Amino acid sequence: MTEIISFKNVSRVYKAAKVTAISDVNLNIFEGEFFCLVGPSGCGKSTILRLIGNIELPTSGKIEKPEEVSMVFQTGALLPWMTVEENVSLVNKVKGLSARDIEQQTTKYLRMVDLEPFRFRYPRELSGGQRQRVGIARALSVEPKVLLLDEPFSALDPVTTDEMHEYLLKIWQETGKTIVMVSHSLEEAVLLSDRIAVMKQGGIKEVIDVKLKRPRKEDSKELLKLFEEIKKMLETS
Amino acid sequence: MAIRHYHHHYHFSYLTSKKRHFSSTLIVITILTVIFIALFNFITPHSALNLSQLSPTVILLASFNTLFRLLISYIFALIFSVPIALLITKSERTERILLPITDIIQSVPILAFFPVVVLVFIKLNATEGAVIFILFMAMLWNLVFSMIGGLKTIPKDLLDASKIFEIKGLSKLRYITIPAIFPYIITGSLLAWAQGWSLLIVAEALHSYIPNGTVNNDPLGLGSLLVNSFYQGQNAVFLGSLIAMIILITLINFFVWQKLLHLSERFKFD
Repeated sequence: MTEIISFKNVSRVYKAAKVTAISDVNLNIFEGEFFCLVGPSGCGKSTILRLIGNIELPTSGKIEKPEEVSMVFQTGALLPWMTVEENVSLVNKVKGLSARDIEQQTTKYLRMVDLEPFRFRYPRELSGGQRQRVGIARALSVEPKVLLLDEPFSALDPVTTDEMHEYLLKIWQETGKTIVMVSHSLEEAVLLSDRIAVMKQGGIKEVIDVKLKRPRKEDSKELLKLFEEIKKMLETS
Repeated sequence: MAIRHYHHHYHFSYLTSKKRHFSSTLIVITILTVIFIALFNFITPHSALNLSQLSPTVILLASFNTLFRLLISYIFALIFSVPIALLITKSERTERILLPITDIIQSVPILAFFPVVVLVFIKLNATEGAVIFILFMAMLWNLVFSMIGGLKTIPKDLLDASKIFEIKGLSKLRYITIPAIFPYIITGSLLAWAQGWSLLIVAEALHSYIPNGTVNNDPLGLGSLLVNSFYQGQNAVFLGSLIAMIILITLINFFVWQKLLHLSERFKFD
């Protein structure tokens, strides 16, 4: 397996607040894998994602990652004054792609998330799940090598969340992108990912291989067993 | 709760129908006319209201001049306020240094500068410049502080998105920043214009700031007409200017601000 992201002794300190978000983190993520970060609030999960996304820079250590990284945000981060189509095409427009290429990319990914008929709607006219799908389409429209997701389904109801899991797995299987997701839900992490980084305050406690076959069922014995194991691990962290 | 209550009222206000809007203006004008005629009768019983002094052409010209001055001042204030607000909120450091400075500047009454400003512009032979400058200064801070408020409400996720998608510089300003603060620009503009209207009376009546100045030094406008006509006992001109001002404010409110306030709903975050 080819390594696509690597953290070598990476630390991130917020000097103004005098807070060490992560300290001496070592991490390898492989091309095409579905990687999940779980852990208690404030343990540094989102910081790792923000460092991969270049939103923040490390205080020390070395990060190797591709340039083409994209992100889906917890709130969707859509522009309310733009239609679905405008939201998805904005990044390519700013990058200076031709009108034809922009249209092609936008249509391709709106179709992938089943939102083509909604292209002229405004975000406020969509449900929470639909908005997140727009966010996914926007993130994919720039053809990233790595797709980052920061607790993307935490504000959705359980039925919509299940639906979104299916979408995400479908997209992952169709595109073969590397996915790195921060989740507050252990069930979600076990259900979706290839590997899970269980975090403790400021660092990674353990990286667990999820060797369960797909499609996975939430109530399968193996899944529940792994879920309990990680839960115990988190409780003792 | 109080803020929410206020906003409910606010929403309602720009959905007011045309009929309601203009009928209430008519009621205000009638009430004011009655009150002023009564007051004129009390102050100058022999020449309460001499309609022959009233020239619609002068009132129209004064209205046009005043509107033009306010518009020019507003455009300048708008152009200057965007970079000032962006500079102040650029980083925690710039905010820490610049915000208290601007706060002090804006809290010094603009009229304190006025005599000096007037004399400078008189020396440059540009009385119009003095009026526009003072209106500009009065409008500027309302816009700057509204914009700062707006810039601080842009959701963090959206700012992160602009970083990760490399939307920066002018593209960020055009596609994200300006639309995101659009509702705040509109409310700031409303306050700025209100401030402009209220300062107009002082700004256009320049002559009291000029050594040996007479009313001939004043540029023609609704503000100067209001002040000078009253002191010259031209009560009809005074009332005519006042009514023209109310009509002008109502028309701008209805045809500009209400529409922009309605439009700004589209730019609000959930």
